[in-house]
Amino acid sequence: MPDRTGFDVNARALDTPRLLWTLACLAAAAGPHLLHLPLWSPGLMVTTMLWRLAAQQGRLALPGTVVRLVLAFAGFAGVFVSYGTITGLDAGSTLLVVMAALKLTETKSVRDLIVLLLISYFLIVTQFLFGQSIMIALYAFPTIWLITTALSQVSSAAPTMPWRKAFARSGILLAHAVPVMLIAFVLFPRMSGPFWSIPRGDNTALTGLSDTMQPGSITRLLQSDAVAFRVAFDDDPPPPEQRYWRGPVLSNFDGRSWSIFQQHDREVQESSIELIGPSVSYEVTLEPNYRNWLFALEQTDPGDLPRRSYMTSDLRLVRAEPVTQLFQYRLQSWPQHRANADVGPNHWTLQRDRQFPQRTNRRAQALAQQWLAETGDPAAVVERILRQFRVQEFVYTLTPPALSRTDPVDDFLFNTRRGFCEHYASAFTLMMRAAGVPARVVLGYQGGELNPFSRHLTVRQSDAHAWSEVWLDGRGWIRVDPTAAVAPERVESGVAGALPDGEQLPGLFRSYDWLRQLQFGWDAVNNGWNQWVLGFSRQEQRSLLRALGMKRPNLQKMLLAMIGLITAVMAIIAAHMLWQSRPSPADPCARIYARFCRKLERVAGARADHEGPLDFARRVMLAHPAIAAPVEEVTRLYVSLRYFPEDNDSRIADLRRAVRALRV
Amino acid sequence: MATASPQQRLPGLRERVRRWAKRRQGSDDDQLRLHSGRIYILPNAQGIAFGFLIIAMLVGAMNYNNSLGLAVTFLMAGIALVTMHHCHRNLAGLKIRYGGDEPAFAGDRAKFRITLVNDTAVPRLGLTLRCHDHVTQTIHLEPGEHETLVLEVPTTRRGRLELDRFSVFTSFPLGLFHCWAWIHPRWHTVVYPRPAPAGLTPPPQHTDTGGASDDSAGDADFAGLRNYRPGDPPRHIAWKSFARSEELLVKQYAGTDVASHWFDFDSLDQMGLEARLAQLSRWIVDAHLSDTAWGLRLPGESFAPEVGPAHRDRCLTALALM
Repeated sequence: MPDRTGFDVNARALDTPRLLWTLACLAAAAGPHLLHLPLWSPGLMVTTMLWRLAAQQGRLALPGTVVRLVLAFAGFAGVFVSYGTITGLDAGSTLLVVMAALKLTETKSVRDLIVLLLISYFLIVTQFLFGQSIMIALYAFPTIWLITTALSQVSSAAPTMPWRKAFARSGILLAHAVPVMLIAFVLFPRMSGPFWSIPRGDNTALTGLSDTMQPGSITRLLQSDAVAFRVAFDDDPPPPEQRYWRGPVLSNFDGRSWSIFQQHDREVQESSIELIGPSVSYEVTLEPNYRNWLFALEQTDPGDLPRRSYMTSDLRLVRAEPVTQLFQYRLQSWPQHRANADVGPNHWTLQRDRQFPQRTNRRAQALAQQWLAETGDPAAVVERILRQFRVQEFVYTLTPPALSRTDPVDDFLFNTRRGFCEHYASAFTLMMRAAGVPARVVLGYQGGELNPFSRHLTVRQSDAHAWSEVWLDGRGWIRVDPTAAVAPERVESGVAGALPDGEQLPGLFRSYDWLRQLQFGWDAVNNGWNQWVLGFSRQEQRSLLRALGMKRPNLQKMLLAMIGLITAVMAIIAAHMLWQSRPSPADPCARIYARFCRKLERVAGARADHEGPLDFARRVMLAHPAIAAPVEEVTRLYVSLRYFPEDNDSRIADLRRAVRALRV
Repeated sequence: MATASPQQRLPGLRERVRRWAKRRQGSDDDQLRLHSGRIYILPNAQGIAFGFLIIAMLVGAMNYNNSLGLAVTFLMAGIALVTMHHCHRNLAGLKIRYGGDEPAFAGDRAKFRITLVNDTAVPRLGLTLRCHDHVTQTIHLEPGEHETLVLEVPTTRRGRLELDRFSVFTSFPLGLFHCWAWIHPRWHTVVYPRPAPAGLTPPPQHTDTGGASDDSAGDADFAGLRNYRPGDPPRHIAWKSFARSEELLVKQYAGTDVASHWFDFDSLDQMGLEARLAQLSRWIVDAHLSDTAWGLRLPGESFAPEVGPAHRDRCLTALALM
């Protein structure tokens, strides 16, 4: 009960052990923030920590009010200078670290330490907004153990315990709390949608496809082993050459780089797609890419899309808000389909997809127009270009030479002839446009790696790919992958298989067998983590609850079940603890004798503190001669056990039997 | 006679709750075991702060749809719930035993010794006793341990002081809950009249034997005890008495120069009652410190001249209860 008389245990001055416990927690909780905070803020924290320690030892005074105010102002200013704002994820967590550091300079009582410990808990949770990998979880839970231990040490007025004992005690506390966590995690109703808009991490280093493509942009991605997304197929995964994960579609060409056409993000008309043939169902777990686009196999049903997403007229799958958290979605795709087959050639998008700058790359344009004139058929031009790539000395390489700034396509086609998917896609699409055929570049991922353990497909940044789509009358949009013409192995077995011998492979591609097994194993673990822990969304929750036997789970049922189960668990724990706290001497002999005394209590009254066993027995025997013999027997056994402890196991059994046999 | 405390001057909700608890529990014996029914628990300020922290985390984690954030939030909620039971277990089944009292002069603090006994298989942690504003130190009791705490009670006036209520409380392990039990014992101690300021000279001594005699010659004739002073011969120390009461006394023998005072209540007839008692108290304290024997005459009661703490306490108690 809070005290009204002004007495407060926590207002007492703090001692060095309690200060050290708190500093350790603060360091442990703020540590992982080092990865993304501007360096001055952890620097400030280390400084105030050392300052506070020096003050504890009496070597330095704590700063006065003026200095503290100046420091606080400088802290805010520092955050503002670093981020241009003091709100948002990065600025906010920096501010939290800065404030915790400054709080240290005015920490005088135990209550201040407790405030710092509560801030430490909060710092742990803010870590998760930057990433939720297994590693972070493995770091966070022991840190919570540490902070909880420190809280029990700091908040108690008794002298601090030895650290092993303190950890053991709070470990029991945590172990008892874990069932509550699990029940609540499964049953706590997941809401859809945020309460307030989630600020975008502006300085977050982006790895992933961008919405423009110029020579070299994808090659950089190939150096990254980072996972782009993972896919779990309901049935067998499609063969590698069908695994084209469609992403942004680039329709604008400025002679050098391709970019997305932003102005008119119209939604697709469902009637413009014909879904035919067999379908494949799968679930994608997309890593945060801070972009709006989702990746899908060709072609998904525009009528059955993930929550809060839509499909544009160029068949991109777009989400209403950027993917800042791991995002899971289910899709069904029809690899055999016809897109836009009913849209006439006057459709404005087809006009758009024929445009290109006339003044650059003139040789490529001329060649394409010449081929169109020779064949008179756009489909034949496609074949002609692909054959050109195949038969001439075109090389697939990750280290292409630099291209001319003004006419990169000409330079590539007629001089260097060494390039990567983006070079081929770019050159092909431009030539098709020059031949009057609507064409566009598609970015995405091609392939992916099947995990032998969990059978899921892992698609990495290094699987990034660019290909083309052309519009052919009567057939709609057709996917053409010009890279496949040069290096068919790229499509069938990934980048590693496609490179000429002797070319240096980036990161992941150079792997030994056992290392590869290890990687597969780790990736399978990560996939499970993503599926069952991080991606445990509203839908997942409801389907799990249905599988567990809850009929039509709703908010009310889930809350009731959660409260009921937690109450049950707490009741079990409470009963167990009450049972533990019954009076029971640790020594079995004393325990049995205590039972004996309790039996006699009704007839002879309790054994007084000053009464030895022999005196007690004498009193009982005098008052109740009927039970004199068994009482004497028990007392004799007990005294002999106390004073002659050899061979006591069998005599303890005798004692137990004698006490049990006693009828009062 | 209970002391005035802020709570009693303002009989509000708190006092009514305490009276209710007293009616419910009745008075306690010199030895008792706390059962769950009389242990109360409420979150304290720190617990409420912890609750707000959990709510803030929950809102944040839900907003960002952050699974790990939710998991940690639920873990902390679980910790809070479990802590409540752990905190309660520190008291449930604890044994409390009366360990005697130490009287005080009015205005000082009377002391009650209270032994906490843990005869169970679980530790009892962070235990503190409180009576009004005074708290004892905080102790941990491992299984099988016991420890005696001294509870100090402020006093204002002479007389019998009853310890009508104290509480044993804990907020271990995390300091999120205040868990307590009220104990209503019938223990009392005596509050002696506060000695008057030094000033009035004590009545003249009169000597029993009339003249000094040889110290060694009178060994056979035991006359009484007085406090030990450095330099006393060790063979005169009353070792048996030391073993009983841990007070170092020296035997005095007849033949020694035993002078004594008679402090008479009636001789101070120009003063009021309390002033007389204060004056007598002063003389007794001074005489005790200077190891001179004294006798005390009160209306209807008389104490023959003697020395030693037992005599002093007897006399002061008589003053206190007049």
